Amino acid sequence: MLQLSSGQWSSLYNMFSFGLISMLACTVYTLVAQNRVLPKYKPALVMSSMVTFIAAYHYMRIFNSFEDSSKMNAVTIGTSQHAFNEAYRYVDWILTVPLLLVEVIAVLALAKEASKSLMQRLVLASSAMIILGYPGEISTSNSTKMLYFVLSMIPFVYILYVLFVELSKSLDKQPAGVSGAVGQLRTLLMVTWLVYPISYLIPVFITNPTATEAASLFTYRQVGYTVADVLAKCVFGLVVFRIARLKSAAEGMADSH
Amino acid sequence: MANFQFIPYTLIAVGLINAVYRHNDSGAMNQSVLLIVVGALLFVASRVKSLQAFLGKQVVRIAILIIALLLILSTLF
Repeated sequence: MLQLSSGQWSSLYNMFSFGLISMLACTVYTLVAQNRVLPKYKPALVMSSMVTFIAAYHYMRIFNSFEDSSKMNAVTIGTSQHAFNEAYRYVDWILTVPLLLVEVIAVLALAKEASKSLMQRLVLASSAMIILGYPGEISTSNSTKMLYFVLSMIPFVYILYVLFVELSKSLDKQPAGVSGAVGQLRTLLMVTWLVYPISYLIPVFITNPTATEAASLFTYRQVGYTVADVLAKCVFGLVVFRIARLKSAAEGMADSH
Repeated sequence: MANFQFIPYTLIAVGLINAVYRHNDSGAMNQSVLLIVVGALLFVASRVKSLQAFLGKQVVRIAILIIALLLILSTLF
């Protein structure tokens, strides 16, 4: 059991509700904005809606679980009933991260063969990254955490490298005015994804933490993951929508709505 | 058909998340299994060529979407 201060408990309560409402708002926005892009870019928006919808459902469960496991600001951690298990985030990630990557490919509208090959490589690498990260997340040993951190960083670096190269290559092929937005997407991807390994490593920063330190580490980690989720799913989805809009306009779609 | 397959994907995803977070609650487990099974059946159906024309009808799609939403909402109560 972790005894949080009332400030820490309120921060987490507010962060989880912020995560939930951000995901819901983004889902609604990307759903109603479908007709504002050309049909070939709609799958990217559908995927964005799905990613944020699944994440919203997940945040609702996190939020309920956090409330359920708390008593006078003390949070029960574990897998038992009325306990909060932060490792459950991995269920969400294994379902949404491959989709996020497919979303990028969909909005770039690359040639069919290139898209297929890229999709297969990225979906496999992202699944491997999450599966390899999980044993470290649930382990209490720092050496085990570090081992799985290094292992999961291999597909992580590969994904970022492939996306960086592909997005950079596609910059020249984009219509005028779109390359700036694709460049933003590339930067956003690199920056937001780096928050995840930092949050993952937070418990390793202090060996044998005191109860107060453990509560702080737990709070920082949950805040880090939530901020990263909002940036990587909502803000990312909005940038994808902007690219789809710009590309649709460049390809002749009337800007009437 | 690709966009339609996102409905079963979402059902399976929500079913799995519900199952993990509420694994100590047997009632919730039944709901999760229902979502996962319906999602899996819809996904398989979307891959069967003879069913694709039927699933492509707008009325059918709207009906499936409503059923999917009701199933997801049922996990909240």
